[in-house]
Amino acid sequence: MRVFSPDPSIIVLGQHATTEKINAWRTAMGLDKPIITQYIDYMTAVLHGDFGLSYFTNTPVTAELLARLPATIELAVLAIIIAATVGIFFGVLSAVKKNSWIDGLTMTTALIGVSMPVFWLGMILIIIFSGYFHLVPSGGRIDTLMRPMGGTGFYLWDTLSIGDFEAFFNALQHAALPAITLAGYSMAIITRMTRSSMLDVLHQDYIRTARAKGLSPVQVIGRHAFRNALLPIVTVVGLQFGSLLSGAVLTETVFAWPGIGAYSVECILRSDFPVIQAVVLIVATVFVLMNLIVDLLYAALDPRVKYATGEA
Amino acid sequence: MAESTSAKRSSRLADMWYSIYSNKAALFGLGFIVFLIITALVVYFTQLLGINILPYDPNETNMDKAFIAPCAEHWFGTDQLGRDIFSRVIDGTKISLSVGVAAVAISLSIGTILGSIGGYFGGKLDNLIMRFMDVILSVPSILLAIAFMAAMGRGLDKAVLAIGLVSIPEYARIARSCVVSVKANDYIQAAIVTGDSSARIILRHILPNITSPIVVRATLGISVAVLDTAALGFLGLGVQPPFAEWGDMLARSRSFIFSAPYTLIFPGLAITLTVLAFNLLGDGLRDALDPRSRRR
Amino acid sequence: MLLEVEHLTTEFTTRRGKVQAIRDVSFSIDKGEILALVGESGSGKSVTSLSIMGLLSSNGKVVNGHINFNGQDLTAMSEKQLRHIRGNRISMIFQEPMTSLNPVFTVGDQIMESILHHTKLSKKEAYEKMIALLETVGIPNPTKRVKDYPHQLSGGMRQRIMIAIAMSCEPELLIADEPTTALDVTIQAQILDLIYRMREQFNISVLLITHDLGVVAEAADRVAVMYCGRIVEEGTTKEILTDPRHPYTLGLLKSIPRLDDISERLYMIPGMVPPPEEVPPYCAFADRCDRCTDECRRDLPPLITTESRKVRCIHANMGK
Repeated sequence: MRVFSPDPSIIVLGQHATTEKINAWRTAMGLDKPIITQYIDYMTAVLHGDFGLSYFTNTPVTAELLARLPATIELAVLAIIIAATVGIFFGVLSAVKKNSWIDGLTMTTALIGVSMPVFWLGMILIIIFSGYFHLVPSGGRIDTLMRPMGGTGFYLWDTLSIGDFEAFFNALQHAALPAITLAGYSMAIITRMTRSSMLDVLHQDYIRTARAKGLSPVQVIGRHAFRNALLPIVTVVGLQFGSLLSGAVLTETVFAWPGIGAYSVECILRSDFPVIQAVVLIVATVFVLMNLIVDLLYAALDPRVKYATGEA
Repeated sequence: MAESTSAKRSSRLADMWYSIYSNKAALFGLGFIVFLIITALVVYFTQLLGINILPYDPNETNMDKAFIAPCAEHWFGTDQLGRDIFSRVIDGTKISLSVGVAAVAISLSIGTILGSIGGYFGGKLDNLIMRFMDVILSVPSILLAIAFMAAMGRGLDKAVLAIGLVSIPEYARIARSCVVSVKANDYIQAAIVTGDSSARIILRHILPNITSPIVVRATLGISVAVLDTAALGFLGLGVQPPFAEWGDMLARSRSFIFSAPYTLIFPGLAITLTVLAFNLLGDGLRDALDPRSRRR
Repeated sequence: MLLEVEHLTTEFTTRRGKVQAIRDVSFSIDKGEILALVGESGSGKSVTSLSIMGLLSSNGKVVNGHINFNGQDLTAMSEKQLRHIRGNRISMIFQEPMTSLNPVFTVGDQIMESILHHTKLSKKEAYEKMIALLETVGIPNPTKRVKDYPHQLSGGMRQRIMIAIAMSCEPELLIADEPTTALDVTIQAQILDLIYRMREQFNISVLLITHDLGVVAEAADRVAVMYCGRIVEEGTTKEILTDPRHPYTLGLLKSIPRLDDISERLYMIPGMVPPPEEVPPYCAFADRCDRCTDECRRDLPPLITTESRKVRCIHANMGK
């Protein structure tokens, strides 16, 4: 990334900075060393949890990100919970009632869901629920006066753990629209995936066996079909959690949600590279971690996988 | 043999067409796309000739006419600078479509070539290419595109490049798996034995066989590219003013979300409908190619 | 009679319209009897069995006829009443033991599920019953095997598990749909033998569906031959195998390879089975038949019935 980049010194110090000033700044930032050395220095520091200093605020990137990380995680976790429960529910319903009006409505909604820009969905929701019905605030995480002091930074958790329900509901109100917005796309993907996975499974011979045992539709679908359909669903939910983090970039901007996403947009607009690098690295790591978790879950859910690796 | 394969190919195309034709949703998508393309071309060429066929000049500001709600004169209303939103939405078709197509062209060509080379030659080269693709895939595409833009600077050309580059791996993967399976066929082995050059085998025998899955991917890819373009525009990284681009229009309307909500209804609707059309067509094409899903 | 199927007609709604998969099928099974339903694929034997079970896919429907089981008409029953009979009084095993068991549950779970669903036994009693059952169907070391997942067992073992599930509630009727087709020849004989033994031990009736006359000869008491959704001939196994009256049955018999006759090429019935939507209103076998006359193409031949046999052919010489 460094290789392509325009010289950050010009952006930081302005077009008219003197050469001396630029050189001094470059030395301070370590930009005068060869690119390979820069890379090795950087990676060594990263492994020690040090992402360097922001070009603009001169504060440690690690601290800046840690301060904003809880907000993003809180939002992403809420969103994935919404996306997974709603998506799986309607996906299963749609598969079971295949070709009914419920199926048609669900699949049409899901298709529109994947076709809508996240930020537009967010703004439409703001217009309707915030502007028109005045149900929820249009931005921020919590009313300033209710902000919990100290704690983990996860406001929903912090407020609940000290029993401050008023603040908890206030935080929940703030989080509702952003979480739904962020969940929208993943919800649509999960619905579509669940439906096709369920349809696949419902055609299997063992479903016929289950019905031949005299089990009720609830038992056949809930126990026999769903357990099998769950395998691809777990995969897609895991992958969606990774992509939620990038969706957060847009959602947080729309809702002025003080997380990593909105912050990284600010930093991109002023070419604050240490921050951008750190964000990309962190998100990629989460992405890879999620893949790992999905693989582990898969092994836990599918006996065939467990034994295949056990025998290998 | 050449005759029989070309006959087979054309009948497969006919099958595909029939399947699309009988699929109302896909047909609607195709119709809407054709409509968009014609609109974009007409607007582009008339503008080249200096004629404005739109109701108003999309970039002409007129502060006296700022924030007019939708009415008979201004169907979609006017924005904060008094520009006619209808004209700007129509004008924006040009940019969204061309960026979408150009970005897909980049990722498709580079991805297909890399994937075919990897799949055809195998071994270390294959490993190197595919591991590199895995690295790109490990970062969510929109974030990577943003990072590219941050590194390369803003602008429409760079947006095209960024969006194109991040989806290379998808095409590379499809191309590679197709090539690997096609390569196992006897007639490819025969061509190798008779001493055809690798380039010739790839071009004449392998590429024609991987067109169908790539076409499906590309159709769905355009919808993703249009969405990404809008996202970059929204973040202020895409097109620079005064040109009309849907994402950028939304970003600028954001400040007036409560006072003039109509300013952001229509650009967003335009994005959604365009993306929806490509998704419908892409889904239809995929069903047409995959007999298993067609039976359902 | 335990089961009496009368004039059963089942229809499927497809994109090209309605198609009758079986037409006017009648047969009956006595208590403790094994009836084989024989025919090529597409002849409607599986549809017949699924109609009895009430397990037709959503586009299929019994449009005519009755299925009397112990005097109760299954076609008139509600889904809930049918669920009480399925797996309990009528149970079924399928062709593919590989895919008929749920891959994510242990075989023990799957057998217990059936027992617990239909009986009031406690978990412990059900477990003991299951172990005893597995011993009966010839699974060695059952306490260990019940913890296995289906993919850890061989095809023959899985089919034994399927039989154990089917027998778990001591049904009165077992429907076996091509139970040996997917298995190795040596295993086939064992499974048939097991079904035969189950009949002796529990005095159940069996509807054995197969395309293999070898299987019929080994296990069945009586045989009904199906062609294009209709029963074309019915009789005792001995009668059918030694004295077939319908030209189709004759053709089937002639196309079995024989050890004592290696000189000639294997016989093949000319032509092909017409797809269900193109079955003619006259004798469906006429176009492939060497006895065919003009009369055969005029009307549907009646089912000529004598004491123990039925034949649907006007050239069958039943009087002889």
